[in-house]
Amino acid sequence: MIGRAHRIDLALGLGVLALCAWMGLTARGFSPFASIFPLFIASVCGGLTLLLLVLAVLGRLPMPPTASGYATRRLGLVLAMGLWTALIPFIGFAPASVAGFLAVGMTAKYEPWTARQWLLFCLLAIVCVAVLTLFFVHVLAVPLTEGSLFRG
Amino acid sequence: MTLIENLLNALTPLNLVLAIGGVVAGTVVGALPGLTATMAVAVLTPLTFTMAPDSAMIALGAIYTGAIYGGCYSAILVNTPGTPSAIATTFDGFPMAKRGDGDLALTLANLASVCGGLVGALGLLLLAPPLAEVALAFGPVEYFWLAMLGLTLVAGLSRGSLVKGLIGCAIGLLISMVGTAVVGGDARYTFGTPLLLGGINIVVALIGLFCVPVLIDLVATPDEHLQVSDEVRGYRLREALGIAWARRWNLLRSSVIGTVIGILPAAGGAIASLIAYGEARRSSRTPELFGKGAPDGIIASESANNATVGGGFIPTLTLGIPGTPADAIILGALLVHGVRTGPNLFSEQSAIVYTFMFGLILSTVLMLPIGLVLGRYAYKSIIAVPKTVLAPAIALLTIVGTYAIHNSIGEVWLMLALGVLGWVLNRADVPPAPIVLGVVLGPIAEQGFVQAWLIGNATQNVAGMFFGRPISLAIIAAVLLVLLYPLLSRRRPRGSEAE
Repeated sequence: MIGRAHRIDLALGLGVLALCAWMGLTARGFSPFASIFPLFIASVCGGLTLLLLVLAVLGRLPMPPTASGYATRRLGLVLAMGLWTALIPFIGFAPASVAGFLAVGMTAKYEPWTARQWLLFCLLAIVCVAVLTLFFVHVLAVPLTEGSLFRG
Repeated sequence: MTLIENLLNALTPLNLVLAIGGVVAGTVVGALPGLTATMAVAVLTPLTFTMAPDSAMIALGAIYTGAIYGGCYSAILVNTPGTPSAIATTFDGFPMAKRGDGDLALTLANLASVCGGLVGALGLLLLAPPLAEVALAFGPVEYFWLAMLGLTLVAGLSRGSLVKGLIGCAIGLLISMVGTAVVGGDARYTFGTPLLLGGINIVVALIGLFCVPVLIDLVATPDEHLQVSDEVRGYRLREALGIAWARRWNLLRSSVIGTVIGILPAAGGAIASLIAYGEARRSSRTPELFGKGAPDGIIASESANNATVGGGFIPTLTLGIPGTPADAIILGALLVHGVRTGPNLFSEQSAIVYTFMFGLILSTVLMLPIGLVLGRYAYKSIIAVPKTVLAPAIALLTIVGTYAIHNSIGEVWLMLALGVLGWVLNRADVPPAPIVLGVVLGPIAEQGFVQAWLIGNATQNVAGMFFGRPISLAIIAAVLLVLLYPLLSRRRPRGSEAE
């Protein structure tokens, strides 16, 4: 029977081996100067991965750490950050960031809130985004996008 | 102008104000993930154009030294190095913060940074011309082996198995190859998109691989981010001074390592702190505590990375070769001010250069009170803020920090994708530090490798080029020592048991 550690290490080894093979094969299409280093590193990485697979089969690798907590919240955070990023070009940096701030905050919320706490949280989101936006735009002179929706 | 007059010139009220302002600004920018020391110097350089040359240099030196130090805040409190120089600080800084000693870790980092910064600045003041010769002895092949040493060190020092650490380094190197080739100019692994032509930015990789996995795990449980102690403990300065004094040789050795590595152009604080960390663990009586919150680890990493500031100025000022990207920007600012760096600088414009050196020492000393106050404030803020605010605040910083690099939303997507990849690799026990260092050192390693290969081909002695030079052989020996260390350390207790 294949244990959890085995499965993870085998999946890692096979995945990295496939990556090395693809990078090595693609490198053969480059000029000699540009291909020598990718070929060298892909070969070294491939060799290390084979060693990893052998150690995994022999059961000589330490057990990988287990992930405690809710998988749904993890997924929720990634989706919230993805949505946040997707909204920036359309509604602009500041509005998207307020929405994203609230969404990410929700993924970390475990206790019920009163109306006052909700209001405070929304205000905090607006203040944090406003302060950071002003700092980047006016102090660091980084233009943050206004979004295609409001540009007309 | 005598040295005393230069010292007094550095202590004018204006220069003092500039040094304080520079250290504060640099520390704040360096503490924010995504804003590196180079960015801090680049953004604030135009403000110095109207100043006198010596004042401008003091301001720039203060910003730079503050930014390198500031990187330890997020490394200790959020497990995300503010700058690549603070990668090794995460190994023990975050475990200390996790167990409720974040305040002590920050004070220790402050003391170590000040000590390292002073050793680097004194090295610059007293030994600049002879030490600059060291940089000239390094050719392409030595840089390649130095990068390999940095990578094997980070693989060996990170948690988990050495093989997985090395695979992490190789993944980082493969990521660094995306974009236009450093030699040859081919577009590699870009899938035809302009976004990837410039390669994967180091800061994008740093934020994605370190910060996003922390966020993903932060929201998964209702537990507190860091343990909090009920007792009021202040700065814990006396305790930190006692710890630092007991580890004074580690402090001094790491500072000297940082100064010497800083002299090597492009090597930088990341390699210096890792080498110092590895040396601290090797010479420790309790190496098993490293990676679990050992104060020695923070002392080694932070003293070494701040020592690279003074060390990096040695080739910048004496040879006109910038030691780090931030040094390159400062070099540009010096040229704007009419300061011509090179061997004649110390005779022709000695007043400016010595005033700057004293200014750098002054900024480093000022970092002690400023760092203590800012560190205390940062610690209190992190432990007081609930997760519902901390998680979105960190997410906001990661997104705006990544977007600000090139005003590119594509890079934000790239950061997120790398973050998810980093989390998955973390689950398979491949730590993020080797991957990020692979991305950081990839271009240096490739340039050194290809140039050495070309020279070797031209002289029909490729093997001799890679394995026949004395400095290379010394570095290769160090690489082998790092790789064989786990085997050697496993054999040692067995031997003593047999006795």
